[in-house]
Formats: sequence, structure tokens, C-alpha cells
Amino acid sequence: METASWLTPGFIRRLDALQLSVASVRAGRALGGRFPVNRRGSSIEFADYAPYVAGDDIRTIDWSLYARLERLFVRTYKEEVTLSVELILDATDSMRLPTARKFERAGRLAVSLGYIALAGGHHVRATCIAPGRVAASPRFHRRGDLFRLAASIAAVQVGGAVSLADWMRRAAPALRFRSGQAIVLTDGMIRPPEFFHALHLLVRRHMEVKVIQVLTPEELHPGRMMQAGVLIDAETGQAHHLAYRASVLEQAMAEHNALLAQFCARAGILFVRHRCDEPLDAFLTKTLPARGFLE
Amino acid sequence: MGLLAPWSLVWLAGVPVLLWLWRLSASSRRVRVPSLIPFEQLLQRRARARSRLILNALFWLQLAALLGLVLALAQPFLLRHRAQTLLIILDTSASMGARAQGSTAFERAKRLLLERARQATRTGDVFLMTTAPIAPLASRATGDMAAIEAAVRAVRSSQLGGSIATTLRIGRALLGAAPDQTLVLTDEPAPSPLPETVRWVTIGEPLPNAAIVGLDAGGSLCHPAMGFEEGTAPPARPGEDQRLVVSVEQFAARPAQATLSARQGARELARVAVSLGAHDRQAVTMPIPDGTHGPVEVVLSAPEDGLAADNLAWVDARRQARWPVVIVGERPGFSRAVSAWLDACQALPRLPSPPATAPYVLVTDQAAGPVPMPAARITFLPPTTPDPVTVPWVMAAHHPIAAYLAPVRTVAARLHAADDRSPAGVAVAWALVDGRRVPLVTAEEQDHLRSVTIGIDPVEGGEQPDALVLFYNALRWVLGEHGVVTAGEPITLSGFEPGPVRVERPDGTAGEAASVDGVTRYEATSAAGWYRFRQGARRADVPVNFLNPVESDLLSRMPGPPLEAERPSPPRDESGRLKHPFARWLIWLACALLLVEWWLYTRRRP
Repeated sequence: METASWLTPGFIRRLDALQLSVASVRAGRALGGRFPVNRRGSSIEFADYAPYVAGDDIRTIDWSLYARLERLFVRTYKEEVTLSVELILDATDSMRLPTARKFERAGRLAVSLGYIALAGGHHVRATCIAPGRVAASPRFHRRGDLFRLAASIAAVQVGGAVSLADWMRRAAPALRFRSGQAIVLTDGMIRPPEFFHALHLLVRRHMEVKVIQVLTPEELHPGRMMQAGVLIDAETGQAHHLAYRASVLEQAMAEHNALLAQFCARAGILFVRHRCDEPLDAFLTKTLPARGFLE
Repeated sequence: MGLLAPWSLVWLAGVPVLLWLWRLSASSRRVRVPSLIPFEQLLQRRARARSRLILNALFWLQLAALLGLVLALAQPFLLRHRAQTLLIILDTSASMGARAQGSTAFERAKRLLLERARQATRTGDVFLMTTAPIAPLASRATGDMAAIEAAVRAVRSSQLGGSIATTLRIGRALLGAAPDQTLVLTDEPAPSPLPETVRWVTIGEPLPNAAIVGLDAGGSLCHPAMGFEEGTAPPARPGEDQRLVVSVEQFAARPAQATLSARQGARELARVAVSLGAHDRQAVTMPIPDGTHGPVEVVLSAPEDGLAADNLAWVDARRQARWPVVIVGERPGFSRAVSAWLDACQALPRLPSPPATAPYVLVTDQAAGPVPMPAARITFLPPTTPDPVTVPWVMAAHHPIAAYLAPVRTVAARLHAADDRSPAGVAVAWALVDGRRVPLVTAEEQDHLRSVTIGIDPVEGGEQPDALVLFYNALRWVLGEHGVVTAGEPITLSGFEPGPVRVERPDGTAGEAASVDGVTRYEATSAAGWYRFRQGARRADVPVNFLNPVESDLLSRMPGPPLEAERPSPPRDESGRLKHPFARWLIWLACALLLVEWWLYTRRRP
């Protein structure tokens, strides 16, 4: 990926206006984050009423409610926690075909989302789905870490093939995925069961999972790319003769993508598809907020 | 549409070959794709490679180019109606220069020609011919109106007579086929009968005209000059006033008073008033001052004058020498024989002895002698053959002394057949004696002195008409007389070195003539006026005059001879249409398609 010359001051200002959306937060480790948690915390922000149980602070009993309901309820207050955001970037062979633009766009998306998280006071770490040892960048905490984050993603070498499920099984314990938010940036060129299994591993670790499928126009309309001849799978190396009408190929691709989206929807995972020819800032400022990725 | 080579359609067998090549290319093409996972369902549905042929724009472009090339090989043609050919004959003879109501017949004819040509070029081609001289205005029939207009604007009427019938014949020959239509633009009335396809337009109306129809400076060499009484001899003494004899004719139904004037530059030499009756011809004598030499212009002025070209004539006064002839002979019978020859020409003055100072022509049998220097000389060499010999004579072509003589003639005479002398000058005639080519007649000109040497004995060969004609030709040549050259006749000169001679024409253009064996001949005398011959320091000016009573007669134009009927046209396509092949365009189209295909291919190539 090229240097971060695309991170212009104007672009960064537009990112500052955005925040990561959080559907449900599992408590982070450190206190002082910006996301309030509905538990009996020590902040002054009222959260909710809870039935009195032995041991609760009697100063929190709401006597007016008792007078009305003749039952004891305590007031609960929100507790601010810090979110861990994991940027999981697909760096397998399929991400550099049909053009290198696909991985480049995925990387820029990862950097942009990472900055939005940093601006929100969260911790951000980037990792790549690739064969070999599982590795990740250090955790970044501040806005000023933006360019370090960009540099670490730019240093990623695309190539090789690895099963997403296998990688997730190794990465989750190795990188100690535990609560927080996981943003997966991939082209979705994965068998659906494997895809489902990998994401499920993250869900089981109490992570809020968001998926952005990055595709080129040629992949969405494969008729141009796959007219005829021997098609060679970039990751598996398998060769096949394909001689189908463009409409048939498009339909197969659409069905595959729809399957991925349906699973995510059923599993409560936010899923957004990004076309590489769509402007990046429009996607970040309009599409993602509209789809609930950002606020 | 049709095909000239339909068997070439066998190359359509290339279409299946193209399809096979596409299939081969498609099946052998290797494309790396991100993943085939989304298409695994398709792969599972088809157990083996599908052989469906995927066609795209590249295939269709290649197929179109292939079909275009195959069709081009079959040489297709379109049938179109054959273009009509119109042959237009424009009369450019002198009479077309007649002016009435402000414009000449020729100008009106040109306007009409352009109108008809514009109409004709919409559906065919036009071929233009002129009658005087007979020539096409373009090398082939054309529908290019711009070229036709340019050619018509450049053409001028000449001072020649013309023949419509001959022009039509030559025009058809140049076209190679009978034209569909013929249009004749002339001032002559139409002949009868007129072929169906010939449209005759007579331009102009009868006009009165007075014209110079003859010109003589002192009379022809051996014809009694007009104006002298028959049988009388002209003055024999040198130094007498020179005179011009001008024949004038009135082509009108009314008499007219005309004026003739002779000018040399701004100086008027003579002026004579002439009363011309209706349809009258007169010979007018105009005395000019003695010693006048050089170009003299004669101008006719008459009140009713339809044609200007016949009002001017020119003569070179210097060339009309009338020097007396002096015979000096040693051999017995020589003087008598030559005198007998000269008796045939009463117009020539003779002297018994050479004058002391005046120019004269010496006829002698002596190579040299104590006589005053003559202005011209004819020397008869003494015969070397004791008896008359019958030998073939060979005459040099184009020399004035050889005029009216057959190129090869067998004559019996005593000859000077010795070859010990080098002939001075140009050999005009040879004799073949004992296998040798012996010069019989030589002509030389040096410092304006002309001399002729003749190796024929006038005493023993005097009965030969050819010898007599030879003598008078030599006499005419040494006197420098050319006669009157009219437009269309060739000019023959001597006195130039072998090689090119520049000719300045009276119309301002320049040409070239070749001097061969001392004789220069120039034939393109279509315009009247002075023709100036130049070769280094040598110069000669010759006048050419119009003098054409037929063309000058604007009052009663006579129709020409009947026109030839057209020969049957060669067989054509039954429908009368022409085949227009367009294989070349197909080839260009195929090349363009292949270019587009290549461009598309490079764009699509990953």
C-alpha cells in the first residue's frame, strides 16, 4: 500500500465527526472510556432502577418509588468503560485480484475505522488474516497513533491462502480476543460455512462483530472477467473451465454474497458491502452511518 | 448487385474456422481469478467443461472483417445506370469571331456550351472538341464541371477554317465509342440529313462583312500580278516604286466605301479609298515608297464589318525582291537554254549585263568571274558525263527548292557527277551515279547572299520538266520569296543552324521549331500575324495572313458536308447499366474493422 498521503486534513476532520456505533458493550478492562455501561457504576449518570438486594447501598434506595409501589428499588448509575476494537484485515491472495486496488481500499477502510475508534477513546489493534504465524500490531490508544496505524497496515504483505476458520481458531486465543468490537474487512471469497464458523468464534468471545465485504466491480459483474477459458483460483490453484453467460455468473456471485449477508443478519452481525469504485469518504460518512456502523 | 467471381465464396469456409479458433482460444485461455468459491454450485451442476462458445464484440468484428474480405474476393459490383456521354463540338473557326449586338458568336457559343454542360454533367460526362484546330479540350470525357469551365474559358477562336464533319469523326474516335448525344455549336447552318443523336445549334445571323482576301507584293514570281494587263511585262528596271496588290471583297448586299491603308509602324505608307459594290471583289494596287523594306501592315476599314480578323494583313517588303536576272554563260547554248527557261516567267525582269550598282540575280555556268557581286547567284556546273545519263534523283524533304518534286525521280540528263568538290551549303538533291551519291543541287546562304549550285546541264536537260521546276524553285529561293503564308499552312525557312529555333507567335506564346539540314519548318500557324524565328543572333520574321474568303463570308454561310451516320454501338449489358465494382471499399472496411477489433482487444486485455 502506498504512503498515507490520502489521509488529508480534510478527510481526517470528516472522520472526527463520526463515532463507532456500539450495539451492546461488554465491559472493557480499563475505566475511563467514553461508553457508559449499564451496571452499578460510580458515575453520576442515572442508568436504571434495580430491585434492592441485600448488600446494595441503602443510599441508593429510591424512597419515592417505595412510597408508590411499596417495594424497594435502588438507582443504578452508568460506568464508563474503554472499548477494544480489533481490525481484522483479509490479506490472502484473493484480496489482490482482480486488481490490487481491492486490498488497498480495504486497508484504507481499516485505517479510517481505526482512527474513528481512536478518536472515540478506544483501543485499536490491527491484525491480518494470512498464512503463517498470527501477528498483530501493537494497541494504539490516541488519535496521534493514526499514522502508526496506517504504517502498520501499509506494511502488510498480501499473499497466500489460509482457511478463515482455522486462522480464527488460532488467532482468537493467541491475540486474546475477548469482548470489544471486531471489524472484519474481507472480500468474502470464503465458503459460507467457514465464514459462519469464523464469525461465530468471535461472537462466542463476546465480541460485537461487524463485517465489511470489499469487492471490485469486476467481481460483482464477473461476466467480463470470466468469459471463457481455464479459470484458476488464486488461493487454491484449482483450475476449472467455465463457459457461462455473464448473467449466470452474476447470479451465482449474488447468491453467494446474499448468503453471507443473510447469516450475518441472522446472527446480529452488521454486514455492509463496499464497491471499490464507490468514493471512500462517501462510504464512511454516508453509507456506514446509514447502516449503523457508525454514528 | 452481382459477383464477378462468385466461386470465391468458397472462402466462407473460413467462418467455421473462425468459430473453431475462438473455441480453441477460449478453452486455452488461463485467467487467474480471486476465487471460484462463489461459483462452486455451477461447477457442481456441470460435471465437465462446458463447450459453449462465448461470443463478444471482438468475435463479431472479426466475423464482419472475414465476411467483408470474402465478399471482396468475390468482386461484387453494383449495377448503375450508365453515365450518358455528351460530345460537344465547339466551332472555333475564324467566322465565329463575328461580332453582333456587342458579343461575338464565339462568346455566345461558349455560354451556351457551359449551360448544356452543366445539365449534362448531372447524369453523365462531357467530351469537348474544337474544330480549328481539331483538338479535344481534355484527354477524356469528364463530369468535372470545374475542369470543363476552366477549359472553355481558356479556349479562343482561331483564324483557321474548320470542318465539323471531320471533328465529329475524330471526336468519336477519341471517345472510343459513339456518344449518346452530340451537340454542335457553330455559325454554319445544319447539314441535311442530320443524325438523330446530333443536336445542331446555329449561332449568329448573317452579317455584312468586308474582308482582305488576297495580298501580293508586286505579283507572284511567275504569275502575272493582278492589276497588270494580261500579256504585258512588268517594269524591268530596278529602282521602280514598290507596290502592294490587295484583293478586297464585299460580302454584303449593299455597296460600301472602304479604305485601305499601308503602315509601317506609325508611318503611313499609302492610303487608298475603295468603292465596293454589293458582293464585289476588287484588286487594289497600293504603291509604297521605293526602298521600303521590313514589315508592312495593311488595314481595311469599312462601315459594315462583321469580322475583324480579315481586316488586317501583313507583308515583309524586303522579301519581295524583284531583282533582274542576268545570264552569263561560257558554254555554247547555255545562255539560250536558260533564256528559254526564263521566257516562261514574264514577270521577271532581265538585263543583258550586270548593272554596276543595283542588285541582280546572276545565272551562270562559271564558278567565278569578273562580274560585279550579284545579290543572288545560280551556278550551273559544267557536266562531267559526256552523254545524258538516266539516274534516280533523290530530293531533300522540306527544302523550298524541292517543292512540288517527287522525293525520288528517274531523270535522264547530263550531270556534273564529279565528287572531287565539297558541296558548299545544303544538299537539296542527289543523284545515284555508279553506286555513288553525288550532290546535284546545293543551296547556301551567307551574309544574306543566297546561292544555288546545280549539277544538271540545262542545255541537254532542258526538256525535263523536273529540271525546269528545280530551276524556278531555286530562283524563287535566291530571291527570298516565300509567297503568302495563310493561317494553317506551314512556314518553311532556311538559314538557321541545325538545332532548335525559338518561335515567337503573334498570340504572345512561344514555340519551337527544329532546323534539320538547314531547313526549318513550323506548322502551328493557327493565328495570323508575325512569326519571329530566333536562333542566337540569327533572326527571321515571317507574316501569316488570314485570307480566307470562305470564313469571311458571313452573309451566306453554307452548310458543311453531311455528317457520318453513327456506327452501331458495341453490345452492352441488357439493361444498359454499368457495373461498378466496390471490392476495394470492402477491403478498406475490413481493415477498419480489424483496427477497431485490435483496439478493443488491447483495452480488454488484463
